[in-house]
Amino acid sequence: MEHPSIVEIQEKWAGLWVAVKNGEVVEARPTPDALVLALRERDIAGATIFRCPSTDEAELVGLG
Amino acid sequence: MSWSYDYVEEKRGEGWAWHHKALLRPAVLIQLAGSNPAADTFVALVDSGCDHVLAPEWLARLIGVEPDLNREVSIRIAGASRRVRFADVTLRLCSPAASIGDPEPAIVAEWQAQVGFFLDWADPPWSLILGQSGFFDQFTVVMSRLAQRLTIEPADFHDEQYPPGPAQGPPPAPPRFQP
Repeated sequence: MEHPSIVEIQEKWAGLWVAVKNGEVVEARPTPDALVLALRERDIAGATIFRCPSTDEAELVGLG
Repeated sequence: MSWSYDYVEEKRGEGWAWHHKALLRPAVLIQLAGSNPAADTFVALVDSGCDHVLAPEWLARLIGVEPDLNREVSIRIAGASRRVRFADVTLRLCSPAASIGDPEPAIVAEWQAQVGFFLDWADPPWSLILGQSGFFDQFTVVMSRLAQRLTIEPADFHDEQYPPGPAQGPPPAPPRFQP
């Protein structure tokens, strides 16, 4: 089975921080602290962590 | 040895239907190691305009790093002044073959860098920003929006391709009038 792309994950989990493992979202929380806590509670390691922007937030064009 | 990474596509927000171009970010997968064993990976933005490697403070706690009280400064980023405290961290570059959520990605490079951790910005849009000091000084980074890829070459690649010295091409014309 093909894993979802980042775009597909961002569409489904907009506004949340997600942890992806083996191609599947294993946790999603509103804040990274809550996400890390949830991963620890479930003893999940080896995930990729990233943020899914909200659909209504302005596009980030630069950080500097 | 070099490694090429496809740009990471992000979902565009509302109002961009007219644009017809994908939102693509130069990004790589990175592991950070502190006193806790490195396990998780982070999608890191490769940001040539940033002078540092930066991350939120929760990431320092996660990997078991204590940012240094004596290396605290203010930087201006994303429209605001923010306090950043630095720590020495081991960074590991995941292979281009590694995918999002790969629990045991192959590591192709490892280096030490000073990473600045935000003290007052808990929720920045990226969990890791790879800037000039700590990333671009470790490798030659080639980015092409046309190819939609970034390639990471050894640090001396740039000077091999473009040797330092006088500018190439014909010499400039002499001035027409003497002062």
